[in-house]
Amino acid sequence: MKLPIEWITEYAPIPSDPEAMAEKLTMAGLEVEETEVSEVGAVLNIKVTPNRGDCLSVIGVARELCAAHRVSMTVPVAKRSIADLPEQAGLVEVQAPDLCPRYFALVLDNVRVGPSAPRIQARLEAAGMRSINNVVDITNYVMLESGQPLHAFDLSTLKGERIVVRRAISDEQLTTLDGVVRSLGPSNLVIADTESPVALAGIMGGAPTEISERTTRILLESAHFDPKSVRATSKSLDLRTEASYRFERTVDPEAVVSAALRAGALIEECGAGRVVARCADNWQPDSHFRTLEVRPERAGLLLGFEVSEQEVSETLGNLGLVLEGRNRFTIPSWRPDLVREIDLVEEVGRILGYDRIPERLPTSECVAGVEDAASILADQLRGLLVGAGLTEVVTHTLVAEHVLDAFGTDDSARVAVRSALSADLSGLRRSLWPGLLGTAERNARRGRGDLALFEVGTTYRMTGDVPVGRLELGLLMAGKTGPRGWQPDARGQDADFHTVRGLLELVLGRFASGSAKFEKSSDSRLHPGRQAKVELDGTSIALVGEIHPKLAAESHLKNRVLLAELALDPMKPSSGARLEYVAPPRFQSIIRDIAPRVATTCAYSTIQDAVGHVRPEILESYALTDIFTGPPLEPGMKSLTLQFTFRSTERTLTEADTNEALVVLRRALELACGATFAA
Amino acid sequence: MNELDHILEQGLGAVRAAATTAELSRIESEYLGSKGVLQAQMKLLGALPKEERPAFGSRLNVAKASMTDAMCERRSVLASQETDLQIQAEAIDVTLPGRPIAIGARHPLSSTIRQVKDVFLRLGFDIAEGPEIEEYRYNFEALNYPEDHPAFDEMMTFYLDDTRLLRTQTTAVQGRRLAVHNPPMKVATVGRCFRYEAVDATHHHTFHQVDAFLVAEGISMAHLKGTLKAFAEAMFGEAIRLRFRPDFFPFVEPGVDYSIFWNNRWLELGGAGLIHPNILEANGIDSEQYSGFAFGLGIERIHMVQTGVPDLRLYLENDMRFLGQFA
Repeated sequence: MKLPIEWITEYAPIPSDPEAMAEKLTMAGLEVEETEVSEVGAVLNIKVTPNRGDCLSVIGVARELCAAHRVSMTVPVAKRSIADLPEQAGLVEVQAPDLCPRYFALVLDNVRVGPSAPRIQARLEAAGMRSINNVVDITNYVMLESGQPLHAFDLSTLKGERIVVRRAISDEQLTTLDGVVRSLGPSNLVIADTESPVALAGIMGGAPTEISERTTRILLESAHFDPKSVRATSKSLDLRTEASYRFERTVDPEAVVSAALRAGALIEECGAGRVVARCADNWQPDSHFRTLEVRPERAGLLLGFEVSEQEVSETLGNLGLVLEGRNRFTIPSWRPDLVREIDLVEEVGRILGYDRIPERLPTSECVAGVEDAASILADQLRGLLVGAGLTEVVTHTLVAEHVLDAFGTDDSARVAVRSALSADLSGLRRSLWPGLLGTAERNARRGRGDLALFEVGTTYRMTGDVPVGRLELGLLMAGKTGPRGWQPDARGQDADFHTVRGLLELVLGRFASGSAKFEKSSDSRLHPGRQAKVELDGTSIALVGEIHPKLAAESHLKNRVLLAELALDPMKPSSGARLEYVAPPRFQSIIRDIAPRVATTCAYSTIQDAVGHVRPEILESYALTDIFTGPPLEPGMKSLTLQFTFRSTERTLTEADTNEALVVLRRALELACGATFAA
Repeated sequence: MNELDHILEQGLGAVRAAATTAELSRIESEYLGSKGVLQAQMKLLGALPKEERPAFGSRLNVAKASMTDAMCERRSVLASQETDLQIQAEAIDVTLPGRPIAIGARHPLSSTIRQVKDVFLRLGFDIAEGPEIEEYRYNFEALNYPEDHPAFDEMMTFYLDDTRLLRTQTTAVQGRRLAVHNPPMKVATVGRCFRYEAVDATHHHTFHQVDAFLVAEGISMAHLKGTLKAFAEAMFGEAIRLRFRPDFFPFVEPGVDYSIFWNNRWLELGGAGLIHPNILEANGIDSEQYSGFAFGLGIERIHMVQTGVPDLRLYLENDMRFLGQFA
């Protein structure tokens, strides 16, 4: 809201230095966003918080400034009283008093419409409003001054020369001042004449009844409307005006008549018309205003600095609250936001100034903070993967539909955003893969095709009609895995299925209890021959593989792209409390290699199963150290190098012990997969 | 000159002439080895008359010792020369760059979140997580939002259905905690929030926020200020100046926004205040006995202030050139 300073100081007897005023207002709670220059001098652009509708006016702002300067403000009293005017019976009928608790109107004749006084025009312009004509300008002027929206009708255009305040009938139409034909219904409160709506109550007038050069008689409306009703109609018609903005927040119902009289007086002053009559005032004011008690010691306790009874009553008095008895105040009608003691504590605090608040740390029993296990796990996981050379990315939860956006073969429904405005924000991700792939594509376009990325994030899917979130780890690798060194062989290999599987094994080894099993899988997003799912205790928890060549072709990525996703809910953070010391072995181990030749179709798991079946007691561990194909091997054959580590916990092993074990192992491999061994 | 003297002279000459330790080893075995010439002289000993044996034996021992001494001396000279040569030959270009080590990088948001959590843990706050898909009542109702009020206009919300939405603020966790825990409590939550905003350098529909609250007896605005100050100093450095300004959030009263003095101006960081007594009472907490404070701020905002990143959008773009800077 823009207001010229010279207008404010008309009501507030305070220094008019723009910077000082901006600072004062800002520190009292009315943030001055900027100071501009206009024909009438400096203009403050003030941001008013939604609870302070009373500050949407010159008088409201002046009152705040006076309080902040600890001076009291005197609002000018209208010269004319309502009693001086004849009441015109039957002029106004309020059929919906629930939505319009007060409707007041003046009748003016001898109206001469023309341009308004230069001073009024200049002030309106400085406030960001366009000058229309003398009558309309004065309604806007009084609205800016007092906060009370007004509307002037050309009385001769009102059928029956009467006002009826009622709910609209279904499909009733009104062409508003902006030229738009509005279709209305019973949820919209309208101002009507005896035939049809002539204005949207509290929002905008109608075109057929607007003030024109031919206007000679005016009905000047000053009314109070239900904020929720104005807000609902304004929202449903997508029509926001200075009037609706104010009615949605706070308009002082007690100021209805004085605003009308003020406008009437201004019109008379400039010779634009003469006030001749008024309607009956239907206002039934609360018989007693709300009073609130504020205990100075309570205020001091909550604010953190001592506040005296004197300071409380002076501060609240300057804000227009009236001291009723000891520490008890009557709340003015323009402050519906003050409903309990704490609200008054805030008023006292902000006006005295928050710079008075000292800095103290809360003292309490010393309790160590506790962190959620999921948060600890995610952090340990990040540390592990960063150490392994991967870079963490953070991508969007809100995503467009994407071919990668499904978890495994689980095709359960996407969690959709209701009435989404764009496809990119239409639903929640079911998988981390679209975000990872998008990141890879963007970076590849900028020349970074070698990527090792991970994300820890939540994915969502509908389970029945409930959206369920799940914390996951997503991995993407493409291209070289090593660092960019200055010797060609320092670059490492291209990432492949086994690289990513290795990462998953690292993670599972660290955070999963129980043994994970990798099995061939058939996810449509992945290369049919290069993918596996991971089962932990019979539940599928991860999927790893190379992106399907058809999708790879669409992605424009040159390197092969490897993807993995792992559910983190079965994982637990590693903690000292769950680990147990194992003494290093006392006896030497013996390491022996054997190199079975098997068909290339023979799966490594067959070999694992065979070894597992006969596992000699002295076999501590074994590992695959090489795979060889090509001459001198026959086509269709491969040679594996298996390195066995033998050890006993009780004695030093002999050659005879290991030879015996190797015989058993060779025999098992011969039987399981027709392995042969070089002589 | 007898034969032994001759052998010794020849041997000492050969030792002096030896150019490498390898040659020296050859000479050693030639003269002192089990098949060497001095060993051969030893065999002559038996053939000598008994009375000449001690003298000859003694001369032989002296000759052996002389050879051994000369050998040792020469070896140390040669070995040292050879080491020098080897060292010379092994010189490398130390100005070559080191071989890079492949480590990854944490995302700056997750590093900042970690930093924030650690500060709160040090201050004795629990770190709690809450759901991103939130219920209307926790995001708004439990936070004292009046029904259908203009305050909502500042919170453009992604709704999933009539009761579920994407949380617009991590403050939603407050309602959940207050509903099931009794004071005193100190809780901080960090997480992702969503608001329907047009995306530009300072606005995004997806952002991250930390919210902290404390409920105990006798909590005042001074405790809020002290805690915020401790937090700001941990995040931004020593001697941070802090300023409160009145502001409005339905869930706090008094409500403030707070700024730090940074690069010669006041920089707004977030919102704060005393938890509204309506909220405490709705959760069965006596608002006369207990009071509490709450504050929140953006994770992106913290990192932008710390590092000077000018554009919020960079965080979710994941350009490796950006992420690499904060490894």
